Amino acid sequence: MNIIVLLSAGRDPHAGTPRPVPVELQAIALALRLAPATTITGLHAGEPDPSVLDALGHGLTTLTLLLTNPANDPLAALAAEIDRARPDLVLAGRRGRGGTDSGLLPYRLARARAMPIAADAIAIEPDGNDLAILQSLPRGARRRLTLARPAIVTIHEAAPPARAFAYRARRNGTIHEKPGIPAPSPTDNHEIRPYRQRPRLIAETTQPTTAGHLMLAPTPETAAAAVLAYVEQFRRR
Amino acid sequence: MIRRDPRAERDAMVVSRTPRLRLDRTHRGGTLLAPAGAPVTAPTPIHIAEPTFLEFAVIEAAGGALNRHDRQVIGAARTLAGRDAAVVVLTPPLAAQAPDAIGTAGGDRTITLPTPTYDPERNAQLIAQAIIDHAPRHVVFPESADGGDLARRVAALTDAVLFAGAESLTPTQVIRPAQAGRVELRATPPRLISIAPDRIAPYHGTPHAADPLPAPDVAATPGGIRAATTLAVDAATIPLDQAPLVIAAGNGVTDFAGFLDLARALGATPGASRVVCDAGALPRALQVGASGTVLNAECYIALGISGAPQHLQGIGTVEHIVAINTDLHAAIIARAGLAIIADAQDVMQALRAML
Repeated sequence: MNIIVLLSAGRDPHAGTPRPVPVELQAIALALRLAPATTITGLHAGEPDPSVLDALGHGLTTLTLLLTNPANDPLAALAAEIDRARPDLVLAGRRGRGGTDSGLLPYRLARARAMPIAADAIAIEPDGNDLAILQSLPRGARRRLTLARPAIVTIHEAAPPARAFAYRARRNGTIHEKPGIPAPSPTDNHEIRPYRQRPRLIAETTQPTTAGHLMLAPTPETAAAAVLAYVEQFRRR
Repeated sequence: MIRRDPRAERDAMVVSRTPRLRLDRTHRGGTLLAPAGAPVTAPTPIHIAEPTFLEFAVIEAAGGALNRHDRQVIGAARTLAGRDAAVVVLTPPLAAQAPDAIGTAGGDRTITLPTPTYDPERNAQLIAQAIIDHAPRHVVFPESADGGDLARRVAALTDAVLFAGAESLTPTQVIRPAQAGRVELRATPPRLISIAPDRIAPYHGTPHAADPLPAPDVAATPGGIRAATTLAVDAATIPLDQAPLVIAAGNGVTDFAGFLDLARALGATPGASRVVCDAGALPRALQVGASGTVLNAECYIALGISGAPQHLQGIGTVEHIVAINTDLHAAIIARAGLAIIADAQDVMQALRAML
């Protein structure tokens, strides 16, 4: 299986220094479970950022760099490279960490290439001509999807851990540099400020609200029936 | 020089003038019981017949009921809409008791998306068509797992930029973190916004009247997601802080093997109060409260727990609480949606027998 792992220029949340995005390294580890390392390529559009090159130390052997201005929209360059390489599977992290961090690019890429997309995978297996994907949902729930190939899959933080960094692998990895396609970024007239922590809402339920239903000394059977009826009303199916 | 206005100060303190003048000098703003004999009238729902513009709120409504995040999404759309615009709530089919929940949460119209199974591609097409049909100023999504996925699909379909994970929202400005959470982006609210959980307040004003609108009509096309099945999850393996339904034992429980058996039969994650963990009856990892785990559950069943302040901190965000206790004056009884004054051990055995 021919796999492309999309890599983005990551930043450390505290220091702001270049640091690979952890969930993208997990995507590499997941790809290595599916296919031999020689069929897996990292893909990045932008400058040769140290955070992207460091992915070579985490199990990746080949990296394709599409050289464009990092302020540009990478969609056109990535779409053209995917057209050329014809991968069976494109993996990406569910969110970047260091750019706009909106997690939108894989979806735009899927739309541009008319590929199906599934989010938040923690395990991927080939299933005939399709892909069987295990999706991580909140509250420990899991969903199994069958996805047509070729597909784009974003990886969740609950996926298996990334491979440890190996300096020799980082030095020996192959880097193909190609010119990218310059494209203006979608208009965003944002004002950028240092992040300010804002308080989360405290649930209004911390205050004693309107009186609930009160049962005084019912029989255990009546009480049990009331509890079951109440719980069934509110529990998730 | 600011001069005091004693008359205005006194007017602000007036709680009621009939049958006699009552003043609240503490400014605690407590509510008073209505005078005896006065009829209690529910406020008339606000009906916006001819809205100046529309705002969309796309909710997840898992299990057919609105959760906290869904109400925050409708509240955000309500903030953007103001008084004269209508909030259109796009929702999967709701359970029978939920339709007026939309009006209470601040929605004026409802569009039910007729998607029986998990099909985000189809839902995105329907929402994109609804955006073309109704031309809302903004579309607000929840930044949850499925809600965030749907928001990005709609953004890709409509070729729009998504303002993902907004943490602050007013009609003129919306703010979200970026660059690994080191900076924040501020902008005038764009077309598509998704809001982070527990950041934007839900609507608490007079309920609105929610009328149904016809669902958008799009021909179904075969999508890339061929099949989807949600897997059964063992409640005992869910981390306590993520569990949707928690049953906890306190000092009123003596049979802990029976308690764990009941939790398994009910499909609930077991928890415990500090007293029980201190006594070694249940492992420390199950402790609920300030020095244990703070829950995010939707429903909590407290068996023989009196509700110490530290315990109530641990269940601060839980909306639906069942308390079974022999003490009518225990703190948890005031906090519970269903309070039962009975011996927890007896009720536990009756519950186990019914399952």
